Amino acid sequence: MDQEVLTTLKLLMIGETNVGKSSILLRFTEDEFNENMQSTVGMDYKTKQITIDGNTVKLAIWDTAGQERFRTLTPSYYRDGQGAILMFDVTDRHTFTKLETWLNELNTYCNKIDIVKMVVGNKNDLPNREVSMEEGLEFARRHQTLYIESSAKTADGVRCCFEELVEKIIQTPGLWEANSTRMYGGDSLGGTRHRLGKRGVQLTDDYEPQNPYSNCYCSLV
Amino acid sequence: MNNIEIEDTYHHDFTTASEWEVFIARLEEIIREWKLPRSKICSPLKKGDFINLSWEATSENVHFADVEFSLKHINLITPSDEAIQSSIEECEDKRSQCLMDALNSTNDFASLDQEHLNLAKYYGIREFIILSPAKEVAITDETRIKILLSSITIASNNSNCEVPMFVQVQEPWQSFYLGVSEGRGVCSHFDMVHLKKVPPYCKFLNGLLTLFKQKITEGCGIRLDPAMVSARFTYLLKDWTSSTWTQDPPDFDFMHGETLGVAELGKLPFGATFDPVGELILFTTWPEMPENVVVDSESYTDLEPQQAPEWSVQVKMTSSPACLLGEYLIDFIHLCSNQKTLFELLGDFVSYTEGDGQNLSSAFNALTESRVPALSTVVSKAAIKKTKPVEGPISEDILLPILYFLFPDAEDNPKQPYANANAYNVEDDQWKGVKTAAVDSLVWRLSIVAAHCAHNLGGAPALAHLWHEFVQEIRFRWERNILIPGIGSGFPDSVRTCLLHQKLQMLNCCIERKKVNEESLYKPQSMDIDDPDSDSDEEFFECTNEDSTESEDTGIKRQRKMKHSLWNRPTGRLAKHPVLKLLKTGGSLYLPVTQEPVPKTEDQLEEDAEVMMQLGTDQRASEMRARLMSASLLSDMESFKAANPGAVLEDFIRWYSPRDWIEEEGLDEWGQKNGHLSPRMMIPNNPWSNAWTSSQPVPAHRQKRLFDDTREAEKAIHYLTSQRLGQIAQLLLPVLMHAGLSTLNSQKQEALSNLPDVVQSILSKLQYATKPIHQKIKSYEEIAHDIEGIEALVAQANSLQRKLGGLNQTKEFTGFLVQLMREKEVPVPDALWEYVRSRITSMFYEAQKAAHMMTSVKNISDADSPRDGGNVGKFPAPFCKEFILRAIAPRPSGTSTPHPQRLYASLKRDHLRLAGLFSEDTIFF
Ligand SMILES: Nc1nc2c(ncn2[C@@H]2O[C@H](COP(=O)(O)OP(=O)(O)O)[C@@H](O)[C@H]2O)c(=O)[nH]1
Ligand SMILES: [Mg+2]
Repeated sequence: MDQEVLTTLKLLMIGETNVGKSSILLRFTEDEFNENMQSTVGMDYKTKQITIDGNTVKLAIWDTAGQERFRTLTPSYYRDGQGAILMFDVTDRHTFTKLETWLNELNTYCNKIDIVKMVVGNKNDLPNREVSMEEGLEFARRHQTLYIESSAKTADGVRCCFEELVEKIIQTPGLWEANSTRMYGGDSLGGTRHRLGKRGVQLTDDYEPQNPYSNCYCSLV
Repeated sequence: MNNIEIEDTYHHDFTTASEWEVFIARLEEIIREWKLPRSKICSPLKKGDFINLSWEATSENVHFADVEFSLKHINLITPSDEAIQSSIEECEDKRSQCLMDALNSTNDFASLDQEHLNLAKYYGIREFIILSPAKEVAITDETRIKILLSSITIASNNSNCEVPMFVQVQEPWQSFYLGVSEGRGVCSHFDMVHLKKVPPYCKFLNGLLTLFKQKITEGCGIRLDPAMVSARFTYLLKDWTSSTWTQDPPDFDFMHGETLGVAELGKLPFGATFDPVGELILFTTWPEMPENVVVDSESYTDLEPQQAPEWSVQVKMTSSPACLLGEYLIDFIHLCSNQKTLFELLGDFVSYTEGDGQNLSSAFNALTESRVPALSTVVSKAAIKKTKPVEGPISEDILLPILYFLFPDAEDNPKQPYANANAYNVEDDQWKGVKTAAVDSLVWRLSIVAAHCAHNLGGAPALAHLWHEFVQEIRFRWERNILIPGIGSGFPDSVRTCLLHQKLQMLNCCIERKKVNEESLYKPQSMDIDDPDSDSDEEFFECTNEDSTESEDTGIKRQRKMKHSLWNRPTGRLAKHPVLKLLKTGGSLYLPVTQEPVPKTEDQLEEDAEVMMQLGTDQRASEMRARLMSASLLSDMESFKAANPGAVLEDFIRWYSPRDWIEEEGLDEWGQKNGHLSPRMMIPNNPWSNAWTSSQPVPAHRQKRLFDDTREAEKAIHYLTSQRLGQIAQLLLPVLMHAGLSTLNSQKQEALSNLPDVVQSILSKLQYATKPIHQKIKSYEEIAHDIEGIEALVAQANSLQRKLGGLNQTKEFTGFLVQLMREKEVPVPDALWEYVRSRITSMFYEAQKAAHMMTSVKNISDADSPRDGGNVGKFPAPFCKEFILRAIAPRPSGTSTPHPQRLYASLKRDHLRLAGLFSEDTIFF
């Protein structure tokens, strides 16, 4: 795994507090689940390298707390983010309703014109769902984001969530630059191999849910 | 020397039978491979086909002995190729394509630039094969020329190929071809003459006609029908008189000592410094006339350009017109790599003004006030101090208007005040996504005047001087609590504005806070005071005010009792929470006054993020980060404790992180729902409980300030003062580039209908370039060159409009102009016939007059008299005369079948080319 790193991508984890952002991040970076996960103060930061289609990228992931009061503090860290994970708790409708606010904030404070967004419905291991997958998908389609469901507890959808997001970013020209050309290069996209995402869903207005059950997020249902 | 060598190497004996046969066989083979032996006849050529349709070339290399040749097949791709092929059979008895094309006059004189395509002009043919040396060498030896010629004749014969075949001989630059075409009982020879001296009898049409007829009738002696003649005279115009090039240099008089209208200060120049149209070529054409209706001889000519039935025009643009805006931008980019410090550039001048720092600058202020009387009431009024005992690179009478332009509020009646401050926060304008500053804001103006200084007032030192003055003024404003104008209010906008703009916003934040702090010092009653001897009645009333709504609250009594135990007295309350009551005491929960959030500029945010990242990613690092981030949490907890004596962590959490409070069934003694902290808040020693334990009840205004306005302001000012010249230029560059694009965008040019699209595409480059905090000069260079390129186009179009169109803005004229811009030959359309012709005629006339004046410069009085103009011809001598003569005549004898004969002639002052096509009957001779 000592591969040359193609680029470093900045990802943001946002959403109401207690929806499981830090837990998902811990699951992704350490493959652990901690029942005693402490409540984030302000924000936290983790890194991880992943290899997708032969391209190794380093992810710098900023985890935010989500409390109302911290909102005046954290948006400054949104700067230059290339991808955002907007998370809600499928067992808590309130966290889903609040997504709209988070999305607005993201659009206000993020200076990348087309930052790639992914809506994640977490805690889908729990039985007491308050938000259905259809509603989640509908929201994602309306705001043209990716959508996936996950559980930090069972690890379902966690890798997939990050992989799809990164893949989408790499496919978006102008959103990132290869490391070697960081300061001086032109629009070189390095030697990436492009392919269309197999599993993630880019939800645009003309999206047709032809076969949503072939996608991996559905294996979680 | 080289020539001799070449001659030697290439002087082969081509007659070696076997090699020659091999060569011919190979030629035939290629011709067959190309499937040329066919007698396809396409539809007749239409006007403009040679120019508008595209030409296709295929080539193969062939060796003759060890010399390499290239065999090229060139043909015009006509759209109807397929459709016509069906009728091949019926065409058997007709003439070959080549001869039909040679008689067709629709594409006469078409000028084509690509290699070998002048054959199309010489002979009017749309398809041909050329054998030429693969390397650029001359074939001058008569024997070799003959052998090559017979090679192609034999090959063409053997392969039944009607497509004319040529060999290129003589020096390559001469474009000298000899050729042959055989088939359908006709053999046509393509001959050429190319001379540097024009023989007298060839100078006029009459002589050429004689020559043509002689050639046709040689040996057969019959009388010819009149030949058909086409003629074209070409005129060049290079020297524009002032009436046709009136672009004024931009009005920068103010740069030369005149304190005039500031209006110009905020504008960037636009346009070319000299005429971007280098040359106008006029083609006057007489198509197809019988020879007997036209006379062109030494003594008389019917071919007067004004009488020509067809006019067409071609313009040549100067290859790199010096464009004002482009120059401004590119020069400024060059400054970005300048490593000099302000001190190095300004020397004593800076050291004097900056030597003693604070003290001295207040000395300036005193000076300022005496000079600008309005500034004596400084508290509410901004000021400009002008103070230099030592002169800087920019003289004061120029500097002052510039400074008033940047800081209009320093004048009593500002000439160009900034728009409403709110206007600078609007983001949904056409420039959305460009990270610079609002149009006509302070930074916008600064970048433009900086470019003026750099370009017109002395380069790097002048820019350094301007910057120095600018920073002095900023410092002055900070010291006197005068807001910086043209910046808008609010926190530094690190998403939508450039770093310089953020720095100034930061300074305004500092000034505002400082003002608030200082004002509150004068009004002590508005805040709590540490002093235990303070008027206790006041405290009492404050409490009653806040609590008066809860008439029977026991809290009041309790607080009254505790009036003197300061540590437990509630302070810093903002508002009462509508429902929540403290869990332990049952008193109302109060929202505390909290410290304002901390404004930060982009570079500071990046530093912060860097610190956070460098801590690493393990558990300890997370704890460290939590501690770093907890400053604001701690401050909020302390404010909360101060406002709510007797509160517990649960109370705080219910306000601050309600989702960590889990409600239960049942009500507590104050009638609110029972509940408990979320599991993670109950983890022993979690950051929240730790912070709660360590926090003291301190109201926000008595806490250690999270934001130190003095320190931040000094930091920002230090940042501005310590920049090297290149860094200053880089700070201004994004905005200057934006202003440049905006200048381009304001140009109106009908002929460039896609100007808005082009601006849009540069805009997206600019959005991309302005985004990163570390600017890439390269991407700005690209944008500057893009802008310059478009500027040149606009200048070209403007120049053409002025020359040919004047005020004519009709659709027809715009269409004509658009075509001219492509630098191709464009016929003058019927709709504009009279208009354009008279404009061109008078341009030539003016140029002639001017040239005449130059030659008779000694007779100045004569030159002015209008009579003198009469002696000058309206047009100069043609630069080039071309003729095409056509006839159908029997050759080689009077009884042969008549076939097409054609002669093309081109005459310049020191050049004559004749290209003849002479056909012979190969059956009846
Ligand atoms: N059952 C279940 N619990 C989860 C899951 N993810 C997080 N949690 C729990 O939800 C609580 C909040 O998680 P945390 O990661 O701190 O959320 P954050 O505030 O968004 O960072 C913790 O007690 C976690 O143990 C999940 O996928 N399933
Ligand atoms: Mg968290």
